[in-house]
Amino acid sequence: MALERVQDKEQKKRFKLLITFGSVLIGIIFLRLFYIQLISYRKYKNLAENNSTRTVPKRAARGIIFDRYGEKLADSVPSYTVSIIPVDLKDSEKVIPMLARILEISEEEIKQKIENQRQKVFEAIKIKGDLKSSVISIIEEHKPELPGVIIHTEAKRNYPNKEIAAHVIGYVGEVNINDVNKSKLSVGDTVGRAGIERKFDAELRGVNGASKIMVNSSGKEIKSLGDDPFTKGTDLVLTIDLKLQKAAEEYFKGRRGVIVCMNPGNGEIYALVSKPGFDPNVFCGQLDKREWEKLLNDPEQPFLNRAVGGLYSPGSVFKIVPAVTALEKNKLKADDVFVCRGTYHYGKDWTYDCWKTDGHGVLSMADAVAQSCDIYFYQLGLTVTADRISEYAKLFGYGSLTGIDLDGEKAGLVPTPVWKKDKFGIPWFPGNTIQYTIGQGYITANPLQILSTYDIIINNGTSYKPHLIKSINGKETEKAMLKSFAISAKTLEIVKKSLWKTVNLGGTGGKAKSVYGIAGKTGTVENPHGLSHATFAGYAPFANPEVSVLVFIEGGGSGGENAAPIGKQVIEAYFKLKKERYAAIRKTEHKELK
Amino acid sequence: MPLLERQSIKSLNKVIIIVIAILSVLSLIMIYSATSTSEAVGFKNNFFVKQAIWIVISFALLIIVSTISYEVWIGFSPWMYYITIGLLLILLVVGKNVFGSVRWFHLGPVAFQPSEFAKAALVLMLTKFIADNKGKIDLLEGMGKTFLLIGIPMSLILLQPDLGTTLIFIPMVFFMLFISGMKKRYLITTFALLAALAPLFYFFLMKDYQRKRITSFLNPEADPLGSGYSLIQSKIAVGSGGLFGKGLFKGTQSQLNFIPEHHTDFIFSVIGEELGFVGAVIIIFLYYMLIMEGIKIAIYAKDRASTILATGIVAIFITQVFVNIGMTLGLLPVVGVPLPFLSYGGSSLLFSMFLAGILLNIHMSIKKFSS
Repeated sequence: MALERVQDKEQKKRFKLLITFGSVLIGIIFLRLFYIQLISYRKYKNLAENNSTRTVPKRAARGIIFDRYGEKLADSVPSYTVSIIPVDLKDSEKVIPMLARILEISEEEIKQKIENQRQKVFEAIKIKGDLKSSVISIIEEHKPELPGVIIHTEAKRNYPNKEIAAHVIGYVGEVNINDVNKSKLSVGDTVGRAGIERKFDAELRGVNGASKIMVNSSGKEIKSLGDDPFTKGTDLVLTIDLKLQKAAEEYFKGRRGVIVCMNPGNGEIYALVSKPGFDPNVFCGQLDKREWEKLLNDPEQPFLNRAVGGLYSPGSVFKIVPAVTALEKNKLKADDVFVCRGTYHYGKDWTYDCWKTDGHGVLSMADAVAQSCDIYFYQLGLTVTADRISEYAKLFGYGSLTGIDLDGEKAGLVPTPVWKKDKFGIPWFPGNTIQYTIGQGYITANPLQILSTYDIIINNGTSYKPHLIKSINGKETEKAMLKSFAISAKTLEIVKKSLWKTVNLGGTGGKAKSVYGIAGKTGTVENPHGLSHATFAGYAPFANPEVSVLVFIEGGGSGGENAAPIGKQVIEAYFKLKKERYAAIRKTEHKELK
Repeated sequence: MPLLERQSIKSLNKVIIIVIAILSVLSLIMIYSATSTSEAVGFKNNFFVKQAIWIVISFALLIIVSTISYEVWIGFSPWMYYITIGLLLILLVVGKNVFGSVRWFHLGPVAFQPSEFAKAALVLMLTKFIADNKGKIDLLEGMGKTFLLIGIPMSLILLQPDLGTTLIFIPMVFFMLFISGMKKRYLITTFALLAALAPLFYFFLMKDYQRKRITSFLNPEADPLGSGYSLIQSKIAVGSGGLFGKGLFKGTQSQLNFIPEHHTDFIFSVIGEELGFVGAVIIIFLYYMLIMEGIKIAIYAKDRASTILATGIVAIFITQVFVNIGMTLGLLPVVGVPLPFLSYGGSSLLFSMFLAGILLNIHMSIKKFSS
């Protein structure tokens, strides 16, 4: 019909170009749709989901740490955290400085945190935890100017008893980037940094969850896409008795040094005091850099757990080792005597003093221990020889770790003549033996080790591995033998008698005399840097010991005068608490009977 | 002026009417979906209601225009042309003084976009010019005049600056001249020259933000939150729609405002996301039918003028569809070109319907002639 009017062949050809043009363009669109909607569907689907989905980590609350009677030593409390979701941080040049001002931290700190987790732009990055309510209200007020900044709640570690048992419990801190790279941790997570918190971090930590929210393009929450709840960490029950611990800390107030109180029969530690200490709560919030450095550089070393990480000359409390050596090696009998005139001359040129300048006179072993006579022990040592003393020192546990469930224990040193020759290239002199016998010179030990050597006497040749974990998930820690060797009954009797005498029959430990039947040994450790260290190692009741204690006061002067009374206080506190608890149980039983 | 006759209603091109009707309904649905949860927008279904009104008005216009001989419009075209230039000049002066860049006239509640009017004016004016100068176009003088005629309004639109509309004119002019019989070598030379001028244009005439759009098109990931944002988000929206789409009102990209301008220039992203490949293909098939029907009308048009006019109109539709959809699919840089019959906006709809009306009339004139 109208075809004839289509001007000419040429125009028809030209229309073909127009048809081609239209078809090709529509075809291109079709292919493009095919490509992005069908072939690349997965990719774009993920991108779209990421676009509108934000993940806010729900960090697991750490397990609660209880004392042996169920008192809380560490728990978690809710706190507010401010985080940044990088992808919603539309105007970082404005938002970061503003947030830095509000939080009173540096812009670099914020930028660094974002940078550390740059692959996870849809995930909230913790900037600062433990916010004060005033800070929260400022942020809420400026919310429209702070796109990408969110506030959410998180469990924060809390130590209700503050500095009490700080060295046992330890503390937590936010992970640093290095930790993150080598483990499954993510930025903002909390890890144990010391004490039980560190040693049992894996148990205490739990598994993080996350909450997913749908946001619009301005990062505003539209709805929740569901929560993946966190799994709380495992609770731990410690062997610590909080009340006893508190009492011990109270008696030790103002002093520097260590108290360890334990059950010699199984190695459970009831109390462990190391002073100076710290309040572990300071690490839970965000610690000011200056504050942190101040604590770290404190010459008093408040973070050092002196009970396991402090090495000292054991001093006179060591004397039980040479005494046992002499008796067991048959070098002396219990009633063999030495004379003390206050000064001991070895050869022509060497003189060694007893702590008592006018001398103890004629002494048998029990008296020598009770009076802590040095000159008796100088002669005993020379008779027994250093090698034999070292042999026994090692059997008692000197020079090897107790294996307590804490990091940072130091083994100390048991010297021998061979060791000295190797180390310094000079031979062992008799003077070395003299010093060694009274626990001075080269020998060093940590206070827990020293206490453990007394457990050997108490348990007739056996000590148990000191430990702090009573149970995890209801599973009790079984007692484990630490050291065990044969000591003759006779030797044990003599040593025990000596320790009884020390406290109860006019010995140096008289100030520890108690109705609970305390036996023990005092020590006054020479300290080249200042005042002598005062020590006391004791246990009770004498006949059937259930508690042993070591007091070590740095620069505390006389052991008998200053350490023994504290040892007594701790032991008495133990029995008083025990009595109270029995009374309480009887009362409830009585009520139930009625 | 011929009046509406029984016969002429019967001879309305059914394909075009049906395609436009379907697109209009889809437009309403998609605008409703795109704006139903949008928080940036104050009144929830304001867009939907406004568009519904516009559809009614412009559909009426389509029918009316289809009954008015296209020759009438060609007769008016010089006036329309001068008005266009006048409006563009006013806009340029007022806009420059007040806002720096403005494409709209606000007349009370109605915003009017002169670029849309310019499209209609220019296609008619060029038809008239080619028809009046049969045989002269090929001469150098004719060519010069032609490009002056088109160059003036194009430059004014470019200065607004409205790169998108300017782009639409190029294929329109090309095909109108081409179909009118202009020698191939002239056309090739001219467009080669234009292509050669493009870099000059890019470096000396384009605004920074326009250059940014082009660089961000070439590498959108370089600035994913800034200039590359729309492109990336739109692609994600369409891609994540998959085969059947996420369903109406369920497109996260559209509903959560990740796609900017999702009811206007980016309406196709919403379709891709919510109706999927199936929905998108139906849409492009509808356009394909519209275009092919338009070409058919051009081929069978009763005279040279109507052939050229129909060609111009079809070229406008093809280009606009391709530029708009291409942009939402990341094939072309972001330029502000609406999708005919689908994008929200009165001016665009009104003039798209006007041009479709002319096509319908050209179609009817064939029928009349043959009957």
